[in-house]
Amino acid sequence: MSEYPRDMMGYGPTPPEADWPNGARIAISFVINHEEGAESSILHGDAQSERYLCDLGPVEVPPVVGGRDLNAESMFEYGARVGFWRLRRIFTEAQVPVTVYGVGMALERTPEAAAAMVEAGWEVAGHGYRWIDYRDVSEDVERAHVSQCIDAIASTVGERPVGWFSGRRSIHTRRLIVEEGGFLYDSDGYSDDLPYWNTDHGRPHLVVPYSRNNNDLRFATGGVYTAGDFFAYLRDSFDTLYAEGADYPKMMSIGLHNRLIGRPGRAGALLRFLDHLQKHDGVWFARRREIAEHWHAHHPYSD
Amino acid sequence: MTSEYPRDLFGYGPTPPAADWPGGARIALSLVLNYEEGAENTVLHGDAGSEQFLADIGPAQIEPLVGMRAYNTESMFEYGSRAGFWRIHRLLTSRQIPLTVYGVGMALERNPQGAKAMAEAGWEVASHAYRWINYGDMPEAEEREQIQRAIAAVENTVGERPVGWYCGRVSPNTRRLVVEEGGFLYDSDSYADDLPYWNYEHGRPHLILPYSLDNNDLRFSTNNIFTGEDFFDYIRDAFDLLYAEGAETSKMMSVGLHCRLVGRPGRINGLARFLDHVAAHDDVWITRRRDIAAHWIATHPPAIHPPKVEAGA
Repeated sequence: MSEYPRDMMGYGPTPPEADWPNGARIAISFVINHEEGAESSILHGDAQSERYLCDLGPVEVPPVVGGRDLNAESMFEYGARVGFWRLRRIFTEAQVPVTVYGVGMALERTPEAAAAMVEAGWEVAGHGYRWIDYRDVSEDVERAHVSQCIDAIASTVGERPVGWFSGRRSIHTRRLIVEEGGFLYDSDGYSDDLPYWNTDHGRPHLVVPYSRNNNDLRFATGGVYTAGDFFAYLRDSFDTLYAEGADYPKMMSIGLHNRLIGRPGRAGALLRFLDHLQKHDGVWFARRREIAEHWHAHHPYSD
Repeated sequence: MTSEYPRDLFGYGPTPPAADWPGGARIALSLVLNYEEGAENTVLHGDAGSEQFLADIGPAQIEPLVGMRAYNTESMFEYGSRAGFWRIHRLLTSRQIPLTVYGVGMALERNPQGAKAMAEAGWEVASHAYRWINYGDMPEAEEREQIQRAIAAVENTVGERPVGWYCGRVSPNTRRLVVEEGGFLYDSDSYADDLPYWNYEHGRPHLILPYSLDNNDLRFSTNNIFTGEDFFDYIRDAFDLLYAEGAETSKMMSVGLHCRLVGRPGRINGLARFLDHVAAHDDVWITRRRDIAAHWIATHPPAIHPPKVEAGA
């Protein structure tokens, strides 16, 4: 039992006092996944077309092996052409900061969007060089992709990323990130409502957990259809954490995708959720790097 | 990055053009009825097995029957042409709502009365290919021949050749074959924008009127939604958002319908409520896709020097 590498206890019944700035009850992190142009495609050297997280529907249409799927491609293009700009306008008008999970190749193909992220003051964290399943990728290739992703962000955004989220990570991912260095945090974890330290790979490494349920990917996996249902889910998450935050302040991540929430039938959910948030005091709207910096300063690693 | 990358990931970007719809409308609304029943997969049509896609069989629990007829599935499709079509026809004609039909050639041939009713209602019949199948793997020569049969089928049943095209499950060749065939004002095999746009990939400029698989009753069969009310909620939200944006830059909205899906009694009220909602708004141009295409061609003609699509262009 002593060798078991997982932590099933975490903070348990007594989470630490997060001590967010200005005594906030909750830290809210909006994340936009910027992936379009880096998905699976023979144009990118892959064996088949993309099938994951788009509006093709749950199961009926298989990926095209050895060819392009122009329907799927156009759905991803919608995200870059229309959805991104709709989201940028919504967040800019609401004056709410954003962390972008930026896929290196996608940023390289959308330099106007990358410039608009900088102009809006958004954080751009690394989301792999490609938007693919890294479980199928060798360790050497994955290491090279980590460094290519850092370079792509540095060259399109003007600054290297300090945050990381692979998504479909391999068993090597976290170790490669720690070995690469220069990161304040990664978000490849779903195991808590607060940041926590991980010591699996030598030096202490901060994990700022993410969410795949407060996440518009559910529109594509069949879990939700209406904006009303997505809003209701986000609102319930917020209300629960906000109530708990009277005793123990918490953190909430909301994952968004240009091509999903960016569609007209869905973006209203985001507008309604932003309205709901802005009716509450004690909410800290933060980029993930600020949450990480806060945790490093106020909750440094200790044995 | 290669300069040969053939996709456009920028489009209109943050500054879409003023659509300049007739009457200063804030939104152009295109309802589309997919007419497919009688052209789906079945051994009766020479296919290997029965249809599984977009029926009420359920998402994936029941595999297609290989080499045999699936009487349940067939009867669900029959419901669409027998009952659903006429229910939708009554609803739309009673309110004088213009419509574009995506008509599958073989399906129109099997229901000439339905085709005649479309023509009499003043609906546009665009071509939705000759068969309602996945064209992804079809050899180019066969697909070319099917496009010609599709055009002829619309012409023979409706009395006029189609000027719009929507294949659905496209092959890599579909758009090029449609451009080469000629005679079309537009195709709708794209989901990439909220406005029409020009495509220059295949020689002459070709207009795309993007379609929607989310503002679409196919979600009833892919298990995303169950109630007509949820369908109403979704397309109302889409309308409201585009209508609000349309105060500055007018937009286009497509709603996809199927006779055998929204045509069922438990679902049709979702559509009726949406029409009520739309009717409560001014400055809405409810129209056929061919009218949108004609407007775009007249007011937003293609570039004389087509832009070369490059990464970051």
